[in-house]
Amino acid sequence: MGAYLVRRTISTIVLLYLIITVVFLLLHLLPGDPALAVLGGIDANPSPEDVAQVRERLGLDRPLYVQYFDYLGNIVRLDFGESFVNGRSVSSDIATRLPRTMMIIVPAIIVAVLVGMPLGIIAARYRQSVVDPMVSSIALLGFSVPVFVIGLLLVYLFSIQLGWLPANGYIDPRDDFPEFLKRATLPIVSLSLGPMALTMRMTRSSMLEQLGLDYVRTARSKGLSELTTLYRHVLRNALLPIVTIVALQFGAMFAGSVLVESIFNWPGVNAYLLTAIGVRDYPVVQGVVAVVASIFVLINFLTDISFAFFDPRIRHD
Amino acid sequence: MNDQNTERPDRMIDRIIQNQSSRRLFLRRALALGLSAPVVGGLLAACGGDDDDDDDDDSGGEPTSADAGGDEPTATAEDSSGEDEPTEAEGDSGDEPTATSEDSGGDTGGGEGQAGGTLNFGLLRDAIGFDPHIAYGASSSSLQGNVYDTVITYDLEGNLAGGLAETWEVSDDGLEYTLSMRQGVTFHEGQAFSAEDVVANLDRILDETNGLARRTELSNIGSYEASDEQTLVLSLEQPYATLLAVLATNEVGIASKEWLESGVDPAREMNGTGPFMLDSFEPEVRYTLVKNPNYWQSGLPYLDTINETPIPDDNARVNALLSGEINFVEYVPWQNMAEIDDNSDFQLFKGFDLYNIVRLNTNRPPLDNKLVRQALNYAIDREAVIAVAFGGEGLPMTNGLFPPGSPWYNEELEGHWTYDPEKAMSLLEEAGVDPTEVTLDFTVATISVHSDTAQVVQQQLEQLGFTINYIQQDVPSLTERRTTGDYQMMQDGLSLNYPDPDYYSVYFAIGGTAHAAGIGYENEELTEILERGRSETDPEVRKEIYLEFERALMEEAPWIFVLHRPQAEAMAASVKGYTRIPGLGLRSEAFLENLYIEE
Amino acid sequence: MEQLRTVGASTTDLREDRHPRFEIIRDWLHWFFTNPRVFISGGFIILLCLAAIAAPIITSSDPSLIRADQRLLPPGDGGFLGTDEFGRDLFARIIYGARLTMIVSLSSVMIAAVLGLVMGMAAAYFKSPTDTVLMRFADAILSFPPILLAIFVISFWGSSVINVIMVIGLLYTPRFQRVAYSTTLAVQENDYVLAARAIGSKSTRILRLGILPNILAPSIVQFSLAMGTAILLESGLSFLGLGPPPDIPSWGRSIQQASRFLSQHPWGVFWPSLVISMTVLAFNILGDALRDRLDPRLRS
Repeated sequence: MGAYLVRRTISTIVLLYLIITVVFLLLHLLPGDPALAVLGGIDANPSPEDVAQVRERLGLDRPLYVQYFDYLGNIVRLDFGESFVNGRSVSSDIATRLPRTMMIIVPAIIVAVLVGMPLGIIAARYRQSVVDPMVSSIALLGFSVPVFVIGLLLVYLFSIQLGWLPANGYIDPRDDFPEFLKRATLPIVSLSLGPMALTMRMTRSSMLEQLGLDYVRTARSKGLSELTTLYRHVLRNALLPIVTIVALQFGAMFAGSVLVESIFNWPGVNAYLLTAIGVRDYPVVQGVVAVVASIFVLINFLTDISFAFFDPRIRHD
Repeated sequence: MNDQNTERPDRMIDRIIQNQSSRRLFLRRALALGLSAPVVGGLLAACGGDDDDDDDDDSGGEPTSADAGGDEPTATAEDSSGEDEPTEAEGDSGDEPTATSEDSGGDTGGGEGQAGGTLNFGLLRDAIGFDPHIAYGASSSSLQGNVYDTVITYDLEGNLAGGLAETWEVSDDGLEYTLSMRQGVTFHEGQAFSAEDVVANLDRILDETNGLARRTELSNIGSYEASDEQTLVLSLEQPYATLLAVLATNEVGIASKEWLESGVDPAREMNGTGPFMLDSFEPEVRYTLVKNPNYWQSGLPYLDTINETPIPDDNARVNALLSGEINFVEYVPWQNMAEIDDNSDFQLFKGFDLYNIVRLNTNRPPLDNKLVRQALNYAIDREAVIAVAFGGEGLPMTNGLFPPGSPWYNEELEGHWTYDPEKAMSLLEEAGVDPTEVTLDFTVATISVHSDTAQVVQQQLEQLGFTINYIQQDVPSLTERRTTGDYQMMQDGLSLNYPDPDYYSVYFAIGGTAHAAGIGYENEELTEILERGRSETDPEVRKEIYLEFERALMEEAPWIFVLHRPQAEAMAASVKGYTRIPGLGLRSEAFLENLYIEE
Repeated sequence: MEQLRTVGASTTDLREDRHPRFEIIRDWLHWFFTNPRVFISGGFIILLCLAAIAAPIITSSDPSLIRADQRLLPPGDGGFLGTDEFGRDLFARIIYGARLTMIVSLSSVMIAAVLGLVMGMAAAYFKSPTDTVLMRFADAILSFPPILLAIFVISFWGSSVINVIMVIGLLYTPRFQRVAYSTTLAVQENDYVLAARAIGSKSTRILRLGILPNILAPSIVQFSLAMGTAILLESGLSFLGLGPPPDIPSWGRSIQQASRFLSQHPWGVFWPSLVISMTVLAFNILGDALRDRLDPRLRS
């Protein structure tokens, strides 16, 4: 296991380096001059001298490799520089915004797993009865509706028609926790339906696959109780694909949270990134991508480790 | 304040007597636009040839009128329909909200506003920064404009008025401006305000290395000095008629000299003399302004607190208003305008200060031929564009950039562009262009206010036989193509940064940074007329110069002039005192000191 | 457990070898017509494909024709399903929108499946350094915020249908890659694979005959899932304004445009939402059914 860990750690670091470099290059090749955005964006009508002035101030007039090494040096020190547009420290802005996104993604994943997995187990367990098609259909429905449609529907229903929950906005939970909960509920619910359905499906599929295997029949015929079979053997073997899918879901959640943050005006890291791309704020885009990519890579790393844990054959290769 | 004010009522009455038939229209316009000399001069023509064509929007069931002011104060007073028009109070009460009301108009603004209360304000965009000399977009005017004062400002009718300068005098040759500053004004952090502060701010703006917004315009000032604590003298080398309007822009806010020199970062702190002080903020979440108890206009502001929350999503922003989360919202999408207007719990203030146009690259065939460009202008059914892309909420752009109701609107040119496909075809024929053999690249941003218009324009040009290659770009890519002139046709939406026709120079004079420089458009004739207009100080003469300019512009047709776009703010019925100042449009948000909450 | 797996896998091969081709087809048809959920979901997808191909026959309306006087009409007026905010016939837009949806989702998922399977199998089978390189490629894509990738592509090459297909294809490759990878890892430990390797069988042969059949079943499930989510992703990109240009009818863009009129004219959101949801649902149901059919271990 030790050698495996070392190998995976090295390749993870290499991967991060590659991502950081590719993002840097892509951004600088992308059309759209940050200086124009700084000078007013779509309303801008600066003179060429103004543009040159701003480019110099932002350090964009330096050769690309100088900018690159500068950027790498800063990243090693976890310093992402300052936003081109508002001059604020990117690191501290990420530090305030990332938790806000996590505040909706993590509860949404927890809700998805807490509801999805039991439903999947029930559906697999009672495959012959009406329970399975019922649970499956409900899950499928939630899984088939686009997240922004769910979001708009919830706002329309619970904010405008019923007036139960606020339409949007964010309150720091440390300031007013009940109010935070009220505002976070709709985003979390919109975000959790898709992964919930997917978790349920994967749990069900995976369980069914295991239940169909001969060893289960053997176990049953040996007289092991249904529950013991289910939990000790079937669930454990079924967990591998479920873990994969939950981990992969994390990426999809980030994509979904872009839409959710936009609909509910949630000032998370995605809204931050999207705004920054919209004005070509290089330091912000680079910083956010570096941090978000690190999180993803870390999760993949942990997934692989857990693969190795669940299935010992992998680490002996 | 200035001399112009005194002659206004008389001239207005003259007009009314002369032309009874257009009295209603005249009154509406006069009051909406303000009564300054240039305005009334302009209305002379308006009253003469008016056929009430722009009254359609009123009769069409829109309480807010089609005129520039939008929130047309007197419309209700004159209309018998009795629609609940929120702004009647200010409309009748004259220019100064603090002045005690002498009208019979009822609950007029100023004196009767209720002190206290909180305005929860939904912004379109996050405030990027607070620097009083940087243009962060119209959205930031609610912050910059309420914390910082400008030397010159506007009254509620849209006339230039004294801000930090109590009065001003202009020498007869238009070369020397003497501004007399208010006394006893203090900055939020306690520093006393003097003419030296203005000098320090001008120094800062004019320093090229700072790259600040109004440098180009203000460099028309040859020299400036504070002759004493109270007096500022600006000396020009040649007359520059737009100077006061430039000084009145939000980007020339006055910060404390001492404070600026103390090494603060003005993008992240604020210290002005305005009615509100920055209390606290969390970027993208909330900006809190509190009342300035020492504000120089006594009795103002009314509000204790303003919380500004950026809500970029259109639906979210409107929903926040409808669900009572916030009680003031800017950039109401046109889809919701009628709905909000019809709802008695809310009020809508609408104007048409933005315009959607299509830039034509005059150096790329076949658009290098002005006949072709004219043909494209005749090929557009503007009413259809407005109906489809803005649900009928807009004004066709049939002459220049100034909508009906603006002081600079030229009635003579009204209806210059019509929808006339046959004329378009014959112009194309004359130019020797067969549209079925031409493919036009049409670059459009991914934002719906642009792309909705572009889709209709595309279809209408296709009906003429052209093949249109629709190129979708995100905003920064589009902006870059715009500055480098890398396009054949480009959909755009623009607004004037200050209500003066000299703004045309930014587009059409040789080297004009907002258009001409990008594509290398060099038109001597247009440039010459604009130069004349800039150095002329007599408003009446200027008016004629810009009529001449617009005639020449129509002939040149460097753009497809499409429509004046609707723009509106909305608020809960309990929020009183808002006025959409003619010509300023959204920048009226810089005058929140007049707002109050009625219990 | 390895023993049991081997038995399971080889039964698949044996069973299919015994059937002449026409019998297989007859079996499938029988399965299709006797299985209500297959019949309904598969039928819906087939109908949708036919509608997409035969769009001009089904409706004579031009889906792009803007009619200023027919905006936001309810179903029945101005077209079978009403009109959108541009006065365009909603029915025609949905039928023509099916073209885009089908082309984008099918081609992008095909690209993703082929790339993903090849790379996933190769990574697991050939181990380091192929493993490292290929799986790090998957990680790199997965660690790249999808929206950012879409914006890069669209800003750089413009927002054409091809680019949207490429983006979605690229984003979905790791899904197939990971499924193929984990399954191959498990399967190749089986004795018959080890034996084949030991006697020096060609790698391609082992992969094709020994490993691929085991991957097909989970891949087909993944394919059906991916078809559904590719449609959702395309609509999501369009919702953010990153989809194909607006002159091409697209369900996602329709929803985005119509969402601005939700309170006044819910039909504009309702119809495309319904069609998207039904299509995704159909692919999911079909995927489930295919899975049950293809994986004999699940037969009861």
